[in-house]
Amino acid sequence: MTFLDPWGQESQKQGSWRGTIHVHSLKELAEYENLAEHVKVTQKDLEQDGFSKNPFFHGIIAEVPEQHRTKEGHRKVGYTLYFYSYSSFVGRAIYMEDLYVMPEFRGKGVGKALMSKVAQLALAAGCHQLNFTILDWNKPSMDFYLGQGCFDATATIGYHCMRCEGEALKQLAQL
Amino acid sequence: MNFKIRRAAKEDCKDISRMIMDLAIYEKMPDQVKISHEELERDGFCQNPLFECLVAEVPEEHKSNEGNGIGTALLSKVAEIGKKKQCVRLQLSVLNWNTPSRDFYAAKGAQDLTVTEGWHAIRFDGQNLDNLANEAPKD
Repeated sequence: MTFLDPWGQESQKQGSWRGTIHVHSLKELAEYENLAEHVKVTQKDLEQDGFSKNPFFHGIIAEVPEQHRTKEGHRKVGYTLYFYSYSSFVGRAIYMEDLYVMPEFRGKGVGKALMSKVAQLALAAGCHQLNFTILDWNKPSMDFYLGQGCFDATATIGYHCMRCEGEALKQLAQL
Repeated sequence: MNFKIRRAAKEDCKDISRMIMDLAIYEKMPDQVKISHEELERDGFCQNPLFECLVAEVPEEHKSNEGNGIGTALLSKVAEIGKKKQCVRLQLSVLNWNTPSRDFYAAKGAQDLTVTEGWHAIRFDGQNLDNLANEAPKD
């Protein structure tokens, strides 16, 4: 497991990172997206779902050395959460659910490094696509991603993201 | 119409592949289909499958026809399987011009997040995915 610092230094660090995706990071991302009240998952859910025999997701952490920790004492300053998916057209794919870097560590290549790592793992696993979604008002992120060479399948091809949840999902399951 | 919904078996992959191509033609992107029944067999029926699949099957004497509740049955079965595994969402994407499908999903209670919340589907593939991967920090 490689940990990065925002100044482009890599430090090798061995060892397990069980439970290192903290709910507080997810909540910070949710606040940025104006969706804070929608975070229902707990620390326990993450530990159960991400670190069991057949995990539902994988995560990568960006960590800074001791001397760059934040005033609250955080050294883990960014993360990405992804899982393997499948395209009936091209086969194996990766879906990146979250990509987040704390505000004071942005603009230093941390986000790029996290995303590149996901792409590298995707190719190593024989995946042909890396997919994710982004909010249309989130211009800094949109510019960042388009700058990396991706394309907007909603704008160009007309894909709409659909979701069934809550009562609607319950009813659908009973039909 | 009498039909059955069941888990796909490896032997179904040739038929699934045939129907994937039908779907791709309907979606006006048949040139985007790059895999065949072989990849489906390899990826869906190994030790740790990368996907799950359900098939709808009709008895010998029935021809294919629309409006028989088969699409609803398939979608509902996915929802049921999801609920059993404590999943809280069922997500999919649909093309904006595909009105029959958009109406179908809306009638089943799906929200269009692109319209209501402004989500866009973003993708890296081909050379762009390779380039991104090449920039990853070394382990």
